[in-house]
Amino acid sequence: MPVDQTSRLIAIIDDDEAMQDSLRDLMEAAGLVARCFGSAEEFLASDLRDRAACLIVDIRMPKMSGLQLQARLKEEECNIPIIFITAHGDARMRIRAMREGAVEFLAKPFDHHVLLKRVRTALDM
Amino acid sequence: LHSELYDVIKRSEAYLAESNARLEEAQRIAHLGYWEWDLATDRVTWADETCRIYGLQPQEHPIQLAEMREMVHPEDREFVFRTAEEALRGGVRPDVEHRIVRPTGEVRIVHSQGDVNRDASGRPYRMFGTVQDITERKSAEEALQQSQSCLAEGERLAHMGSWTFNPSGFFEHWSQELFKIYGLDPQRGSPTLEEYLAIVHPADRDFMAETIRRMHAKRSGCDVKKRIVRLDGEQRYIRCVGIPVIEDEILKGFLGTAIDITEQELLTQELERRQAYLAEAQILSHTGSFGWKPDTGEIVWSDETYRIFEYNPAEKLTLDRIMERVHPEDQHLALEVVEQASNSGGVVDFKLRLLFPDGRVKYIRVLVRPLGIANDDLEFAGAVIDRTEAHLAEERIRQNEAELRLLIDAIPEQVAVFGSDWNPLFANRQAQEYTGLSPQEFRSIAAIDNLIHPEDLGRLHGNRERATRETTPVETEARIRGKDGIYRWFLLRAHPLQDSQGRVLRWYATRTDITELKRAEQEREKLRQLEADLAHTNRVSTLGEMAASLAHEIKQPIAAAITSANSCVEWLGHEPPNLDRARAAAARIDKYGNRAAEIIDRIRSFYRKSPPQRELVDVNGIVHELLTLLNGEATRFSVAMRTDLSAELPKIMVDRVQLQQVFMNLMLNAIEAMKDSGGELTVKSELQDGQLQFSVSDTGVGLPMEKMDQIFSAFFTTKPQGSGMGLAISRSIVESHGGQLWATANTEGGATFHFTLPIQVTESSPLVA
Repeated sequence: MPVDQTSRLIAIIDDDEAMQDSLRDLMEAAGLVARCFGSAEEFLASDLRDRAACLIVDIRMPKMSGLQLQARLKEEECNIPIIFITAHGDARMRIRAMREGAVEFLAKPFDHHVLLKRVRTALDM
Repeated sequence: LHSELYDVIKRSEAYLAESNARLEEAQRIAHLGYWEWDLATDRVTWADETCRIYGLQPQEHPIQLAEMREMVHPEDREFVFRTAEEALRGGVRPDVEHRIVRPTGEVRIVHSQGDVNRDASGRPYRMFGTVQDITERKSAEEALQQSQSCLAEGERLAHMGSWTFNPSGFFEHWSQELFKIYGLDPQRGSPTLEEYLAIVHPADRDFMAETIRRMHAKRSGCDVKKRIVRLDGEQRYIRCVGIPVIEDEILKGFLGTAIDITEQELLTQELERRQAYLAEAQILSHTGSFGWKPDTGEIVWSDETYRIFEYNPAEKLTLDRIMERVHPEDQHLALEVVEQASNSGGVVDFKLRLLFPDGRVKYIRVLVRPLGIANDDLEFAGAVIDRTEAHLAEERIRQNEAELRLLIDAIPEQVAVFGSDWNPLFANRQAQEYTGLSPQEFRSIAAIDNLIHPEDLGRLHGNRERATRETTPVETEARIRGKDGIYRWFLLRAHPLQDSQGRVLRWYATRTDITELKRAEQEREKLRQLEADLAHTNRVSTLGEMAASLAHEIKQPIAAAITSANSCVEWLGHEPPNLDRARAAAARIDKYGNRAAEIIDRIRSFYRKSPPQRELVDVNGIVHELLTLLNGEATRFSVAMRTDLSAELPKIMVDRVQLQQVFMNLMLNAIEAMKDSGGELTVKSELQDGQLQFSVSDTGVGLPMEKMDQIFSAFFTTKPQGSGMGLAISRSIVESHGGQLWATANTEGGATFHFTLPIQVTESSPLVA
């Protein structure tokens, strides 16, 4: 039985405002609800930290990177599904992320169908 | 009794006769005759002396009145007898002077007095009287009168008055002229001594009173000069000469003269004044005068001449004494001149030296003119001018001129003087040596212009014409051919020398060799090119160094645009399509697309490539090059550039161009930070811990602490036109050389960028980490 996905929040963490806006819009177009954060620290300090159903995270950010956030959450035994999006991800990075339990590792520009599919998958988890 | 009576009568007769005789004698001595006129008979009885007065022999008998009447001078006859008749009628006693004519025709002057006897009834019956011959007295009187009038006239002409003074203290007599001289009224008589002294000038009054007192006391005369102030206020000079009159040891008085010497005195004073002026003028002009009579050897010198020759004015001069003073080397000249002056008849003008015993030398000029033409009456007059000062001044001027000429020859510029129409007059040694033109050739403007580069000649001529037309200093540049045949660049300047009317007398021209300046200018141009190349390198290397980050930067908006495009499609796929959200998404696509394009444009402008190469470089030298390069920029923003460079820095193997780029970026940033306030930029180099350490400090706005970690990332910029690449590139370059680049905030404000470079750079590390 699929979960009511509209009641589940997606957190978008990217230091680039353009990416934040366009990703949230895409989520909304798909009937999903998303909130944006400019940095990992901002997200960790928010109330979504414990109730987000899915994270869309940029790898390269000024302070804490996407991978560091993943490690941090894992340390705290928080198992929110994470989808990485990066502008210059390489294979090593992808392998590392996936090994650490990432749902997906997408290189920009990415296929939005794939993204939405992964998001929905995550929300069902 | 009879006999007694007889005796008495006899004695009486004798007495009477004696009296008669005595009377006669008295009459004769006094030339005084007695007469008696019997009115009844008209007979006249004359004494002997009366007869003698009338030129007749003494006679006993009377003569008729008619006879006597004939003897009165015809012109006086009527007057004489009318006077007698009036007396008879009861008028005054006759007392007349008249002339008589002696039988010889001689005219005498007589003084007749008479009286009338009357009877009891009052009828006159007799007239009697005396007659006195006064001819001699009259002529003496006339002579006296004449001599007195002569004296008065003489006094008047001589402005000389005369006086007599009584020993008891008053003037007995003043002559007419004396009154006139003193301006006193003769009618009021001679002045008293007090009145007299009152007229004497106050300054001379005591002196005159003393003179008069002394004359009395010593019975002496006087010869004094004094001033008087007349009642009309006029001041006169009076010379007063007096002598005492002494008879029988008794002082009878003084007599003397007073002469009005005002004119002479004023003339004398004028003369003295003029002489004083002349003497003063001689002193002031150092000009003495002299006269010389060769025949008599008489030499007359003015005081100034004595002063010039430094002889005592009391000394009697001889030609030998004069020659003693003349410088031995000039003595022949002096003699020659005397001869020349004698022969030529005109003015001889010569200069010679005087030599004094103490070794001093005077330079004098002597002008001589012979006055007498005949040889036996030869006389010279002339002037001696002490021109020592002028001579020394001339010497100084000559010396100054010589020094100036030396100086002009010594300065490393070409100097030339032209006349008002640009005819060359002078060229200094530099000009001659450079062009190889002789001084003679330098007198020809054609020869000079021939050395000007043909392309520059027209401009030079135009310049000269403009200078002449506007009388203004001009300058231009032109190539001038040297004697080696090579053209060099010169800056040609000309300044006019003008007279008081503004007319040009001379053009003073200089030629400054600016070949090196021109070369330096070309060097600067090369440096500018280098700067462009550096900036170019900045862009070029950016791409390679920053490839990864650039890709990221470009991908970011592209990814956002694609995502927005996807969501746009999604919105359109809704039932019904959500057009508002689709439109918003499309707008974002546009925005992100443009942003991507902008970044690509910026990167495109960086695109270029040059191969890096390493060489042994003196980094301090690079700093100096950049100081030169950035000087204009620093000046524009009131930034002072300072260096504190260690002299001990070793050369190191670096990419020269890249290192220049680092310095340029840091220094440009520093300037940029101070562009609103101005300030000081300091570049420091030192050797520390085995590596070179450099710093670039500014006193500008400082670093934003919260962005400290961003400043080295690509595209971080606070500049409106900045690429944001500089610091990132710089750090890459420094790191590629094995060093580090970091920034610190200054405590007093501003920022300092530091970087290190190891002395040994073993291998070229890749630029991108």
